Amino acid sequence: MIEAIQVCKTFRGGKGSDDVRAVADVSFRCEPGRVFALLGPNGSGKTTLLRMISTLMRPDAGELRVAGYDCVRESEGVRGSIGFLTGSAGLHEKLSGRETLDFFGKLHGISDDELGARIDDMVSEFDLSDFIDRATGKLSMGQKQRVMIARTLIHDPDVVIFDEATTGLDVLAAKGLMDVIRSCRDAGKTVLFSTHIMGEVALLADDVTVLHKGRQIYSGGLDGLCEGQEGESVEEKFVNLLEMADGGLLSGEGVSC
Amino acid sequence: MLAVILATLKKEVREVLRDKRTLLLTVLVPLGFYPAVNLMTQDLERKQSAKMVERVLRIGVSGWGDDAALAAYNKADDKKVWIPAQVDERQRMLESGEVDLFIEAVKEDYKGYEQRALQLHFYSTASGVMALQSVKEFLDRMRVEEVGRRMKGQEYLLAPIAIVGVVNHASALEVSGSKYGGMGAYFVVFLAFTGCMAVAVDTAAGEKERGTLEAVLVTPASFMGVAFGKLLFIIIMGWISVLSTIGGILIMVVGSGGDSGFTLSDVGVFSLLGILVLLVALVLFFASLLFAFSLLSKSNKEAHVRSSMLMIVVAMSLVYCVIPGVELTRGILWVPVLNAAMSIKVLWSGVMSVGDYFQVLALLVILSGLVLVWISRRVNRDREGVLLK
Repeated sequence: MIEAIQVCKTFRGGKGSDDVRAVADVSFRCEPGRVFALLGPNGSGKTTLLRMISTLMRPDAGELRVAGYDCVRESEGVRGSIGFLTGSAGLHEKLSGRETLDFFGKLHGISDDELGARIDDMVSEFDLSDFIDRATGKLSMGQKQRVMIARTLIHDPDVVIFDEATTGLDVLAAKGLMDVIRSCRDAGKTVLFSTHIMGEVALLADDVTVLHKGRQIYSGGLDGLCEGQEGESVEEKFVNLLEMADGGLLSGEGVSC
Repeated sequence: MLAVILATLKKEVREVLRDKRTLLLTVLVPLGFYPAVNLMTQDLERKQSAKMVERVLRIGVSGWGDDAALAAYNKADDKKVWIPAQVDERQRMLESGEVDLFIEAVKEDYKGYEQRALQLHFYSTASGVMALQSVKEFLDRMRVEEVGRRMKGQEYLLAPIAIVGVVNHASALEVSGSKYGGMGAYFVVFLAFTGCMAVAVDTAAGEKERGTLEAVLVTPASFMGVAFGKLLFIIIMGWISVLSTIGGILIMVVGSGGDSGFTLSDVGVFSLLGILVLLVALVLFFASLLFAFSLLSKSNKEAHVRSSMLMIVVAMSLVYCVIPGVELTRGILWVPVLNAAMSIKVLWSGVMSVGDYFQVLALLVILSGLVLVWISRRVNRDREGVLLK
């Protein structure tokens, strides 16, 4: 489970520039066995929020708990419970897929005996056998993505976080990733993914929070997000919601359904 | 923690073993660099030797006892001035550079003829050798002309001569110290730096740029463990560069050892050990500094620019070190890198004091420690600012 209570984060501006409030009073709750989508345009604060959840950043205020661990005081416990995949993440290109999984398994403290079996599971689950021993730098985009997913799940985490993970992927690779998200959900894991593509939310999400300029402008079910919004497609409705937020039609506290 | 350090080290080693360019820079270049430069300087020596023909050589002579002969020698070659002297003046004249060569002649009887047995003395490393060569060639020529004159039954001008010995008054260690200690120290220190730099830039800044460091940071492994694994890797690669450079120098020593009469055992076990320990401290210093630079940089390019600026400072220090006449002074003992390079030079000749040695060693280790404490505090204070892209 992931629980965020009035989380805030401000980046100090450099010389001659103002501070940037990246995340302002954001609260939500992700339950196990459900897919939670963090939706928002670029620069809305999604990545900052996910970096706080994964302990890469510290919130200035508020409370963040993952799998029962506090993200500030028990960061090691949090990191042991999550699998985190970002669209900007890369691979150690000189290492093979197997060596990559071996390295990350060891960083997660998995014993050698257990790690071998775990790598075999990953190879079979994500169909990596044809290229697992090739340098990852020589793999196709889709193959790299599968290795990265296996790297994210090598320690069988309870909570899985995908940050704009479909960015740059072709249709097939993106579909493969969505299948992984569904299978994680079916396995009872807590799944949180961020995106700026409304279509992905419509396909996957059980719960949604919409961020815009660091503020939470919607939190609730997918149906509620579309209700009352003008437009034919889900994308149009999403754009309308953002325009309403820009026009001040929505309060700073956000809307709830 | 140890498991994380070893896992990180293993991963770094695996990566570098597949990176041909980095291996070339850290292993093959240091191995071949010194021999290549040496070959180039040999060519330079040959050219200088040609120039020596143009130079007027001053030759001190004792025991000849025949002014007419010396006058004939002076007349035969206007590039050589023969100066009568006493044998007890030999050392002073050679050391002060008053003469390029000193010939000690002893009259002796050879098959009924009066002959002069010549001992040729010189005190030098390069110019003395060339002077010796030139004088030997001249004496040979004179001897052949004289023999020809006798064969034709002409009156001979000079008493026959025979070179019975050549003595270099510079010790083998002094010769090798000048040859390997000076430029050798320059190369070992510089290539230790480039060996560390070749891998340090990528270990943090490169991983940050590619987004792989972020993946590591979201595992429960302590960052200190990961950082130590990377630092250890940089140190190992710096050391491999050092060993490769030393290997290159040894190839030259073995290759030319017969000519100079110098063997490694002349340097002494303690001096060699001292040099190796000093290089460990120097590599630690370079690795700490370069790793800190890499951590503070947001991209490979930024890390390269920072490291290159440091490389210029290192190179300038080393150029200063090889300028003739520069010695290890109290002031230089406090200047990192320069103190190490000068110490290697002095250690090779076996004349470094224990106090000075430990001062240099301690300074390098303390500075490395301070750099590591500073960078770890910086990371703790602003983890996200330093570690995230």
